[in-house]
Amino acid sequence: MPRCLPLLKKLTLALLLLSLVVSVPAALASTVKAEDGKKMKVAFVYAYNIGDYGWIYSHDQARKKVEEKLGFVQTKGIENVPKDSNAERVLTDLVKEGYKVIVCTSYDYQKTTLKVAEKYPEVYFLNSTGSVVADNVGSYFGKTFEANYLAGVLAGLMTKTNKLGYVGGNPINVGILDVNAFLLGAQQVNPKAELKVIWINTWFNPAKEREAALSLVDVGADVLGHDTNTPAIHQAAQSKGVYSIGRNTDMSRFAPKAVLTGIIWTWDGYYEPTLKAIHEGTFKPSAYWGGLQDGVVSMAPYADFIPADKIKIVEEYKAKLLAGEPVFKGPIYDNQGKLRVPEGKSLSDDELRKVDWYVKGILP
Amino acid sequence: MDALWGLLPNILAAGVAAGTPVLLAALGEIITERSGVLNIGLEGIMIMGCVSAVMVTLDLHSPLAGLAAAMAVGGIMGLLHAAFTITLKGNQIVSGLALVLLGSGLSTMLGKGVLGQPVFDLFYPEALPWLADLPYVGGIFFKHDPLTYGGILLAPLVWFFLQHTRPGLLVRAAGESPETADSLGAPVALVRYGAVIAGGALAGAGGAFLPLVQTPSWVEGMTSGSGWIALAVVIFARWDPGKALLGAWLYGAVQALGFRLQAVGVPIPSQFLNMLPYLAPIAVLVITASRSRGQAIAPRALGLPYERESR
Repeated sequence: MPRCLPLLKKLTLALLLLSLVVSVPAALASTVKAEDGKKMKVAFVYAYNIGDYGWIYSHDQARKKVEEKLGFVQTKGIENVPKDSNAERVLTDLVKEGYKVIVCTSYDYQKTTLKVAEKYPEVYFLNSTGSVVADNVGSYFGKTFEANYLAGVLAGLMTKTNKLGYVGGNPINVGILDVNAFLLGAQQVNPKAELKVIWINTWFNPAKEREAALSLVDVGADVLGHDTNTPAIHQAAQSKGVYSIGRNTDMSRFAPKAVLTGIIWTWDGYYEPTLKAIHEGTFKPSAYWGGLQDGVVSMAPYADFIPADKIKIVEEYKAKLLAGEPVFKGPIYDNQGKLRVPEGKSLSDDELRKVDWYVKGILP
Repeated sequence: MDALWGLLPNILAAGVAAGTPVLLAALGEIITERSGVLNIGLEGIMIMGCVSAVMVTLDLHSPLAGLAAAMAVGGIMGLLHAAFTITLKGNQIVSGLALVLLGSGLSTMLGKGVLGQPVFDLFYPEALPWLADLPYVGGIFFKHDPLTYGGILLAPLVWFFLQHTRPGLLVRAAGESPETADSLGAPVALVRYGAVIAGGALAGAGGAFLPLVQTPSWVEGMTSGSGWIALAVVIFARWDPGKALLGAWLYGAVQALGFRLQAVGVPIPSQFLNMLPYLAPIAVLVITASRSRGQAIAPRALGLPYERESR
C-alpha cells in the first residue's frame, strides 16, 4: 500500500484537476459580443448562458434588437455571472471598462447592484424582476398576467372538460396573479371554467414539471399553463393529447400538437425607450412594470390548428386590453366567496402587488 | 379521498415508469457492490448518460444508438472508477465523488451545443398485446416504453445471473471473500473490473431514459438526484435485485402520489408533498436498518481494495 501512495496522490490530483478544467470554462464569464467606437456602451449581465431558450435567451434577443435599432448604443452580453459576490467584481470591471449602462437580468443581483451603483453614481444600472430604485438604479418587470389572461380566453374556448391546469413554480405574488388572470380570461368566454394549480416549489425540474402536468391531466384538466422553465410540460401534454400554453419563448417546436400559444418576453419594449432616455438625459429611475401595451410581454404565434373564429375572439380581448381595459376589474370574488374587487373598480399596480388570494373557480 | 382511489392505477403506472432510471442504476450498482466495489458516482454517470444519449440521438436519429452511446459512456466511467479503485487501490468514496463532479461539469460543457433542442426520436410507450387488456394490472404494468419493460425484465435476469451462474458466483465470491476466491484461482481483479463496468453501463442506461422517454431534450442537471436515490434503493433492497424493483417502484409511486394529492385538493402543504419521495426512502432505510440489528447484510468485502500481499 505505501508503495503506491505517491502515485495515488498524483492521480487524485490529476482527477481533481481534470474536473476543474472541465467545469471552469462553463463557469467563467464569456463575452458574447464587443465592438469599439464612440457609442454609449451597455452591458447585459446574465446568470446562466443564453442557450436556455428561456429567460436569459429572451433578454439576449432584446439586446440584439436594441443594438440594431438604436444606432448610438454598443452592447455586450456576459454569460454565467455567478449571483454571489463574484457579481460585484464583474460589475466593477464593467464600470472600469467604460460601460455607461449595466443591465442586471436577475432578481438575485439586487443587493450587489445597489452596492456597486452607490460607488459609481455616473453609471446607470437596471435590474429586472427586482423593485430596487435609487438615483442611478431602475428596476423593471413585465405584466405576464395580461398575456395569461388572453391565453386564458383561448384556453376557455378550447377546453372540452371546462377544467384548466396550471403548473406553478413558487406561489409568489406574480405567480398567483398569472394563475388568477389565466382563469379570469377563460371565464370571460366560458363561465363554467375551473382551474387546478399544482406548485412544484422550484422553477426548474423537468421530472417534477412533467409529473405535475400528468397529475393535472389525471384529474381532467385539458389545457395546461405554467411558469416553470423547461419544455417538459408541453411534451407531457402532447403525449396525453391535451393542450398547453408556452412560456418565456416560443415552445411550439417542442410539442407542435399541444402548444396553443405562449407568453413571451419582448424586453426591447423596455430597453429601447429606456436607453434612449438615458442617452438624452431624461431618464427617471422607477420600478417599471410594463405589459402588453408597452410591448414588454407578448403572445407567441397561434398554433395553426386553432379555428379562425376562436382566434378572432382572443384578438378582440387583446384589442380591449391594448385600449386600456384592466384584467382585474370588479366584480371579482375569491375562491372563499369573499368580494375582493367591487363592481366598477379595478386593482391598481400597488394593490396588484399585494394579491395573495385565488379568484373564484380555482379549486382548493 | 374517493377521487384519489380512482387515480390509484394512474399513480402506480406513473410510479412504474418514473422508477425506471432509478431501477436500472440500482441493478447496476448491485452487481458492482456484490463484487466488493462501492461506486457512489452514479449521479455523475447518469447525467453523462443523459447528455450522450441526446447528442447521439440528435445526430443519428435513433434512440437505440443514443442508448448504446449512454451505456458506452457509462461503461467508460465505470472503467475509470475500476482502474482507480482496483488497480491503484484508491479510496472508493473519493473516486466516486470525483465521478459525480466530473459528470456534472463535463455534461454541462458537452451539452452546450444541444441545449434546448427537442429530441423527436424516442422510445415511445407500446401497449403489449392482450396483457395490456388485463383489468387493473394491464394499465399499470403493460402500457410502457421499451426501456421500462427492459428494466423489469432485467431484475430477475440479474438475480439469476448472481445466484445461478458461474460468473455470478465469481462476482459474489469477489465481494464476500476475495482471498478465498483468489486462492481457488479466480481472477478477482478481472471479475471486479467486469462488474464495475457493467454497473456503469446500466447507470448510463438509466440516465438515457430521462431524455429518451421522459423529457425529450437536454436540460442541465436533469437527473436531479436520481443517482443518489438509486444508492439508497440498493441498501433498502439489501443487494437483492427483486427488492430493488420494489424500491424503485415505491420511489416512483410516492413521487407520483405527491402531485396527485395536490391535484385532488388534499389540504397538505405542497412543500411537504414534494418532500415525500426523499422522505420515503429514508424512512424505509431506518426501518430496515433497525430490523437487521447489525447483521451482516452487505457483501463482506464491500469497499475494501483486495491486495494479495496483505492476505
